[in-house]
Amino acid sequence: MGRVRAAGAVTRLRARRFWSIAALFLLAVVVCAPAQGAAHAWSCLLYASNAATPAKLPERLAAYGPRLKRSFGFSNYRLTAQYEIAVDEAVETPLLSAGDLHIFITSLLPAPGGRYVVGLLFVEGSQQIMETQARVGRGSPLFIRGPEWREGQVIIVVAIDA
Amino acid sequence: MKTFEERFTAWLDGALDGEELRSFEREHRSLAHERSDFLKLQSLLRCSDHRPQLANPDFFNSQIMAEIARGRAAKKKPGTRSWLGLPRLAWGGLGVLSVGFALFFTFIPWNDYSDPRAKYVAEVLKTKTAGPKIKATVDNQKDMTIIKLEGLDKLPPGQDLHH
Repeated sequence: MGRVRAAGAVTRLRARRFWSIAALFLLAVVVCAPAQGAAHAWSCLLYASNAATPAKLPERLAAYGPRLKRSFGFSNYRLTAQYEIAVDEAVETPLLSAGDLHIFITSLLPAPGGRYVVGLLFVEGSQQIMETQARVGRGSPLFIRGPEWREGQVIIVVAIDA
Repeated sequence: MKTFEERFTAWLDGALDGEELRSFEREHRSLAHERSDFLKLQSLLRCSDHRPQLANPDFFNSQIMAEIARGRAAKKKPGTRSWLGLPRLAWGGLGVLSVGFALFFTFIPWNDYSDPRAKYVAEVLKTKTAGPKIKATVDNQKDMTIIKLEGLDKLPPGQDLHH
């Protein structure tokens, strides 16, 4: 009987120790979890032209209106397609698809300072047009001036968010 | 032919009889008092075989087990094994690491809470085009980075670029 009591006390002590360690691990995991959250990639396709009909930029690019006009020389920027996806760092992911134009994320690696090194592949039809790698800050859009279309030009915008 | 020890044992046990008994007692007259002592001792042993019944055997057993446990604990205490054993060191290390990680991620800020537009970063590291016909030039402005593709064919006007 005494032996049973002693064995029970030892078991309770071990269980208490185990749950203490488990609680600490859980705390660490919970605290660390947000730092390892998946990144999100946002992309859109703009049709730049000098059309008289006014067009509204996406909210993310609202502050870039004057700079777009200055850099591309067109007065009107119309959103034609927009995508936002969660990105797995290890898998090539289609990001944007509009007509024959496609953008793939080929790699995404976190970089110091809350930035990302992102690999992009620009495909038209079945032909690879360009592959690029860029270091981008969170929410900083990267602009790609694409082919001409109708009376204007296609502009592709890619941004990475945490 | 029986030895003396065999005959003596049989005599004590009362197993000798007849001529054999008379012959043994005649040859060993001095052993008569030995038998009476043996019988006394036997009766005493039989009397002492009586064991008293305990009123509370469970309590008695638990007291003995507790005493044994105290003895074992006292034997372990002086050793260094209880404090420097490998399992304890391993658990201690894990615990310290966990606390360290928890404190690090709690008190060291890892988020950049500043306005992302105030810190525009888009730096093109490399570009590679499919052929010599297509050229990619990078226009790095202060708050806007553009990759300009030249040499692309104009898209057909009828192509639908909406999704």
